[in-house]
Amino acid sequence: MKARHFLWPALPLVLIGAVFAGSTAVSAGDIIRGLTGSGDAAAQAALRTVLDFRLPVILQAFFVGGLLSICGAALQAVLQNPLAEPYILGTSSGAAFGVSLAGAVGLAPFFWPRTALSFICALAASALVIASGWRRGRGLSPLALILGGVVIGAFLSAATVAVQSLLTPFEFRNTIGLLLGGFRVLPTEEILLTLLPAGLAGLVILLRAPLLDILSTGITSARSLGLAAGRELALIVFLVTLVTALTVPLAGIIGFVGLIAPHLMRLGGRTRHTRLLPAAFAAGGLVTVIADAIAREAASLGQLPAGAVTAILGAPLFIILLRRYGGMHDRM
Amino acid sequence: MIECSDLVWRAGGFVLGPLTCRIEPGCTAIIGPNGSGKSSLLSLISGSLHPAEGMILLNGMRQDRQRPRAMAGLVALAPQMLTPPPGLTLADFVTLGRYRFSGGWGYGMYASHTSRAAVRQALEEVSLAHKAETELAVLSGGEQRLAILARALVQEAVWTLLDEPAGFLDYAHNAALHGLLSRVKARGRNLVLVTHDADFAAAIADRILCLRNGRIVYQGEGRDAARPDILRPIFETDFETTAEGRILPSWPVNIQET
Repeated sequence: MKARHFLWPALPLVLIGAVFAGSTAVSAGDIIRGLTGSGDAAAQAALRTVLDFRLPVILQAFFVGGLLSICGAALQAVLQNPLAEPYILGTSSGAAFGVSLAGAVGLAPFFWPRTALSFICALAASALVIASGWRRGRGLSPLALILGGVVIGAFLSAATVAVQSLLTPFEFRNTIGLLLGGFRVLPTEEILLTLLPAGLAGLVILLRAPLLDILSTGITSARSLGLAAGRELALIVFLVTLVTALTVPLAGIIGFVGLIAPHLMRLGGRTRHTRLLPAAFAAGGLVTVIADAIAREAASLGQLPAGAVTAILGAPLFIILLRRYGGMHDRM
Repeated sequence: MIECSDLVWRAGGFVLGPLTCRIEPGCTAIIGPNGSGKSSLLSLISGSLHPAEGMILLNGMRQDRQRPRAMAGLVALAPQMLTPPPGLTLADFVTLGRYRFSGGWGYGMYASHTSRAAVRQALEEVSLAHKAETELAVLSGGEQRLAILARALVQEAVWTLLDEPAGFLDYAHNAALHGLLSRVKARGRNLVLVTHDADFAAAIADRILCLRNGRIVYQGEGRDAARPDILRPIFETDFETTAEGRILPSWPVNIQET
């Protein structure tokens, strides 16, 4: 039995189950009574909790997680690196740095300038990491790429903290929310402005699935098959950076989802990207919704960001994958 | 015809060329000892390496001016080894060779009937049809080698370049490869193969081109080139011709002092 086969039945179950996670207890009966309009004040309150607080957060978590997961799968293919993911490659940290920079110069309330800064910094981080992994005549060294990502990611996280610490203590508290992301109730307009373009970028990646199959055999091989491989690689990195730069201002860094979900879906072997990417999207969405539900359940004990949950789940998986693939194409 | 003129390529201390040669249609083998520049020459022809000087004409057209898709129609490259992409089955992997026939987004290569038929036929030819649905990464080194060959064949390019096609193959697979290359040749496909095995080259190729230290040191017609007196200075070892006309290094291999 493959992980994929559990995915689609699990989808509605998890999405419905997540509605009940949180500090305020709601009952299914109250929600149904609220929906049919036959309930009392308690039923109405339960319905409002679900519609105004839980659903917007669940939908954000599902789409952000799903999109990041597509990004992870695409990066793993084009960089021929099973450990690649926007967080591990430092792209997310670049975006977070951009957002904190926007805050420092007073651009935080403005959606487009903030997103633009996030994108520029994320793109610079991606470019720097890829350049640090590039070996002339030999292409991308998988381990140098990961090391470059870790170092540049750590540098940018520190820089984010430094920039934030120059602001007021109130703003400084947002740093945690940026570096270990989570989902909040936000204006619908902001959610749509983020998720529509990010969703479009994700869709373009999804539609290019057969080209990812070609690129996963390596740049030289892809070129010899007739694909303009350099251009395609640049396009995928651009789209992944765009998705990351859009989602980080919304939800902060949700690390490791791009690693967990595609690898869960690959457990069954036999996976073309046309089949892998939609499955990875759903799985990434589910993993993030579950992480967010855990975070909300634990919130009564204090503040636990969903990004911390994905990192706690994802880091051990990274070690397992590193042990499995790390030595295989170690050619630094 | 492939024409190389004044081709120079450098990497570290190694210099390939200046090298001028014409590779006629048919089957040409490039032979030479390790480090003589054979694979580099193949990579230069396929466009995966770029020369420092000189140029290559493919059927009269500038190779460096070809768009990737046109180039894939002119030259198919079967490299020595690839990192097997995780998740792809053998059939999926071979199908990638059909990309040049599909639309820009590549869906056609999986969907089209001609593509599927070509893949099936190529897998039968390399005797791997029974493993079509197996994940490429779990196949043996020799089987992966044949998969790369099958992928180059379904590309149906004017020129098929093979880098050490017999590498990793056991006796049975080697014999099968021999038969396969002869059939492909008979169908009029032009082959350029790189090998360090002079006997294999002599048995399959119409012409042989010998490289040593990045220079062409001998060019000749198939069997004629495979003579001990020609091969001895190139490989710095003694050769002898067996009763069946095979050319093999003398045993024990005598490395000559230079």
